Amino acid sequence: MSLIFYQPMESGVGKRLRNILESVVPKDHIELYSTMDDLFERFQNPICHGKVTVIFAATRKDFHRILPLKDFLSDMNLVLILPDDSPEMMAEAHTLRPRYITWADSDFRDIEAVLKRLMALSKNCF
Amino acid sequence: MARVLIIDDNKQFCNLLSQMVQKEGYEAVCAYTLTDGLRYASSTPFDVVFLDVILPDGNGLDKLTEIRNYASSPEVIILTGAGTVDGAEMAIKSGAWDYIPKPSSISVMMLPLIRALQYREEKLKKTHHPDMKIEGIIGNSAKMKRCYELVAEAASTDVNVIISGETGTGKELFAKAIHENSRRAAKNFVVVDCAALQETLTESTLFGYEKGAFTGAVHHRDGLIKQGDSGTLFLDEIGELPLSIQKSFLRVLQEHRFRPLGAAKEIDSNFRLIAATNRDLDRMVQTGHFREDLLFRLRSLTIQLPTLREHPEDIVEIAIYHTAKICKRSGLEVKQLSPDFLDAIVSYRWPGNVRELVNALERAVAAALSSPTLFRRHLPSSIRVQLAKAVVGDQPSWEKTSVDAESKKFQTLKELRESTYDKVEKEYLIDLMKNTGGNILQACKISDISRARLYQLIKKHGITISG
Repeated sequence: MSLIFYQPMESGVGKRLRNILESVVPKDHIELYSTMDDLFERFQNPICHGKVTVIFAATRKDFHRILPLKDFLSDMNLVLILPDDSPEMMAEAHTLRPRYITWADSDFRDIEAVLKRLMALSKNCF
Repeated sequence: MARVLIIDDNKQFCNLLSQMVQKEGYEAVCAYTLTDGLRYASSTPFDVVFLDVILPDGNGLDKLTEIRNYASSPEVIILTGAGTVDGAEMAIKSGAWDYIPKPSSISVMMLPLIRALQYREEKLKKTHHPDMKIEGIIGNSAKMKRCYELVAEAASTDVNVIISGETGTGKELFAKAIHENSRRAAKNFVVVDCAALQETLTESTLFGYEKGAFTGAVHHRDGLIKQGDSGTLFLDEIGELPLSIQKSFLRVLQEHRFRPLGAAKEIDSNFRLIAATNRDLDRMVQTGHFREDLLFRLRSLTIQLPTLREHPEDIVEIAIYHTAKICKRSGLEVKQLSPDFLDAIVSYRWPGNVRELVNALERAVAAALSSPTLFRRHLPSSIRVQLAKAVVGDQPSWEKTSVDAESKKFQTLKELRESTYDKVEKEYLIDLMKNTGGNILQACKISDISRARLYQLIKKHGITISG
């Protein structure tokens, strides 16, 4: 059972996040995407509805780039990592119906706890 | 003219009630047995059914849901001389309009009838609203129509709603539909996944916190309750909400005020609550795992979603819709569904409901590759094996094996099952390798089995890989 992880740019925070993901899911079960084209292509292939998908948007620009994938993302068990919590951003984030939202300045221990549960809940996903 | 059916074995009572109904200007039909009543109700549209509980050929309460599910979805008023609290509760939970203990004067029975007819008139006005958005929810069966009526009713008010149903029945889509058709549609629809959150995380996520409220609280954050202000707060899997949080959430639900963690003052949030669960909350109340007062608050309006096996007449429509959606998303021509494919999906029980069906279609579309039509063999092997097992289990073994029995040793049921499984598995692998052009990586991805296991199976069945 794998997890989709979108991280547009490798950074210190991104690396820390990736370490957290790898502590929950074996490394070779993490499908890593760093461009929107690659992520979009992934959604064109067979995908299990309810698959755990982690989107790390380090900047507002990163975040706005994922919004066109709303129809795909709202079918997933989505975890969002956002750059800030402005009301506008939160309103747009909620249109994706995420299962959990946290922010880039988090220590990501919350993500670890949430992912453990979500992965267990989506165990029947192909 | 409204039509009323009276199912009661007391002929004198039936005649008196029907005269009163006709006097009010409605049409009345009497049935003196449950069988006759069901025959009338199934063949003629009625607006209201008066249903006695103790009838010579059965218990009226047992048929309440069936009557509610007939095409005209009549309102049912239960009549009984053997009224019990349990019976009343069951009747109301099963969707009865009212419950009248006998003996009551005939005139007492007219008031609920008139109210039911007024409600029905209003409801029909609402459900015929052509603009109701029910995105992603497919089905025209009586069971689904009943759910749409409740969505319309919920959307027109601000009452708390609880949506219950098995996993994969679409509880979140229904919650979203209520929000999108409500006056709050322009505001946030905030999902709280209670199953994904631990107790401490639930508290901070729901209520929000001030900087320094706990280790790791480096900034002030609004909680989801605040983010749902003027919008809808959707508590998914509310049965997983820890008891300690249930207590504090009940207060929020009553007062729409709460104190974020580490905050000095309380803040307001005018949210509308929709909760969903796949658990039996009544049972959880009995076992002390869910607060009765919270359940009471939540239950202003209940929508019980049917399992997919309870509305099989919608399976084909759901499959056509999602196949087109998947093909479109994948940049493929929309695939047709062959009769054997349709037969298979209608026969299967879908324990994972609509979500399982959609995931099976995802895999079938992938397995079919360039084929313009989906065939039974494109379905995931796990489903085909279940179907094969069901066929073996449903038919007498002598019918299945009578030809073979003459020419070879008679198989045990276990042997037959194993050989059927092997046959289906081999057929699947041959198709898989053919469709992927022998690409092992792609085959592993589609079949969701490891490379080692795939090689093992290829060897077992003596399949040649040609690329």
